[in-house]
Amino acid sequence: MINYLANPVRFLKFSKVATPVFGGLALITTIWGLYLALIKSPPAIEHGQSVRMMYVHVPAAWSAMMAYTALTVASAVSFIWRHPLADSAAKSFAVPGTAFTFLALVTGSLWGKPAWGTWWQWDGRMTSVLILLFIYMSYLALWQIIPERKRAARLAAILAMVGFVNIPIIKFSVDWWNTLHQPASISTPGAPGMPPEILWPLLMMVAAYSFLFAWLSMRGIEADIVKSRKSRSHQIPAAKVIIEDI
Amino acid sequence: MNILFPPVKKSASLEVAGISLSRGDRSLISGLSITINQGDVLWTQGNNGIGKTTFLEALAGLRRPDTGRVSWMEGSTPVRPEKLIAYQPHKSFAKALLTTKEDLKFWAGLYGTMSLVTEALDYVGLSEQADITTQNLSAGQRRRLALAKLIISQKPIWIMDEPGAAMDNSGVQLIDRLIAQHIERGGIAIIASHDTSRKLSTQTRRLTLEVAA
Amino acid sequence: MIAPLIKRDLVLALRSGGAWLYGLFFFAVFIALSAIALGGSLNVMRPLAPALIWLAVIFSAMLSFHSIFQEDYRDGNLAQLKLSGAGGLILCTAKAISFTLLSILPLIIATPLAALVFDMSSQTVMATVLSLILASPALAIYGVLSSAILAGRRGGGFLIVLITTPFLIPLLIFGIEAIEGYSIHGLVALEFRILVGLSFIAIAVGLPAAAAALNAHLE
Repeated sequence: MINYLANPVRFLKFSKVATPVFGGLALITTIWGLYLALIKSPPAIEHGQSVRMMYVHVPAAWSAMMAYTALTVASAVSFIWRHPLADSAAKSFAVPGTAFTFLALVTGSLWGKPAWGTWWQWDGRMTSVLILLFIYMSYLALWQIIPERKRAARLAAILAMVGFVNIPIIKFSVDWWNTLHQPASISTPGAPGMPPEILWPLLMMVAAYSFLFAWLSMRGIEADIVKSRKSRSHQIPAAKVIIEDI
Repeated sequence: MNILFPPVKKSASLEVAGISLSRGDRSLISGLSITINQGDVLWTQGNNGIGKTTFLEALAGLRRPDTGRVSWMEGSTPVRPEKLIAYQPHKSFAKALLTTKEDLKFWAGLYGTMSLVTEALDYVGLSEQADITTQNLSAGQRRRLALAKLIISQKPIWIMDEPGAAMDNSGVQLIDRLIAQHIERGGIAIIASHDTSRKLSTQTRRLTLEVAA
Repeated sequence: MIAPLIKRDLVLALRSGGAWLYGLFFFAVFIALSAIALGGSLNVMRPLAPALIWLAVIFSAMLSFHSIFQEDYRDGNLAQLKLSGAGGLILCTAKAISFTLLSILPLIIATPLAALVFDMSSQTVMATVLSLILASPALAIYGVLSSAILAGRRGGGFLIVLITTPFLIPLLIFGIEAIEGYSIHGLVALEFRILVGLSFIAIAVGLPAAAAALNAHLE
């Protein structure tokens, strides 16, 4: 499957069908998920209406991590097999990934105001997500600052892979730091032991984010392929080579 | 001078098979094949920006071709380019704060040819400048220092990017003499140059890169 | 093969007219500005001192990172080193060692002096110095990694801070926790062992990645 799609022409053929499908599924699951989350599910006993923020926040944080995992896999493929399509994919995964991370931070902060009384708490999860945003930003910035595409792809792939190894270390460090300095009683969005009326909307929103991610990534890859094609078609032809004895 | 130019022990050759090269988004060379054997001199000519340096870098193993491949052969076994290639880039890579001799000695240390340093400096005419820092050398003297580095590398394939730039007449003669001696002992020289190509070996070829119509 | 590379870096640094000491000047300025910003009361600063020293070291190191490969890339020495058979791993190891000697060691030596102006207890000073020593391999290696990634890029100074931050956060956390841990458990504090572990991870993961990044510039 991956081998088959590795050819850009075949990929564009596939994406012509797949992209609208992902887009449609994203639209349906988002509407359905938001209906379940915002209207149908009950307000929580402890946090009242503000619990609904969880349905946007938790899937965003999960998808952000999922997107980084996909980014790492694409980077590994790019690094090992030097495949240009994997470069496009890695680059295209990073953009929605960054957006999800940012969304997770904003919604976490909005949730924090009613729950904690402050816009921000240096709790373990929020801090980890903030660091993930730094990782995403440095990844995207690296693509921008290196003009030669193949070199940029290779260096970005290395950064992405080392960053992936580093994520559990950061998580471990931040949790350690957090338990030493913060009272354990701070509640974060996402309660343990979820009853079905909370679980269902949550799963629907996870599905919505996944399809949204797939749709945005496909659009990104398509745009990248078209762009690199255009720059190739506009260029001067290669030099003529003459070899002669003297 | 024989200690500077001992005969090449195992014959080296370079096989270029259908390489395509680009710089950034711009395609420079497409589908070029050539075999360069022991005793060959290859002049590479063409206007600025046409891809001479990129081509040399590919031959030196410092740039991966988009398609095709370059093989570095020792006898009939393929080896790493590091084993065969000495590359003189267009720019001087002497460290400004080291003296001429210190700079050469550093590389001799890596190549394991420390005993050749004094002789090599003498050969390229830098004996008197041995103890001044390379920032005080003239452009031509810095290129002479780079030639000394080619000698002490004791590698069979020399790749030289514009060795004659900023050189006076005696400098150009020095380059010719150097290449002739290198060929005589069984080496290979690949030279990018704007100058007229000179027949420095019985097997001298010229590769010209021209803007395609 | 590593020794001549380190020796050349040291010689060039010593002849550079004191440029290798700028990091130390920055360290001193950072400490002085912190004291001024905090109002200069020793009672306020004493508990914050280890964190301030750690921040001074990390920022000073970050400002030196971009220069690790900058020169050698631009003047063509990296390509020549590759052709001379000095592989990426050897080069990165040599650079990490010379960076530790030139840019981190002076800061560690200056730490007891900084401790004087904060009136730190000798026990805390020792713990701070020890935590810095144990973290310095990782600090140097992540510097080499980010410098290898951005080799030859102009204006990469701020980006290098962004790139290295996620790698330095675990060091910062355990570096400072180790100082607290020392006051309770002494040298056997778990955090010291974790710092050593982080340095080993840097050697195992960061060094090969740095070598790969360096090779990406030369192909």
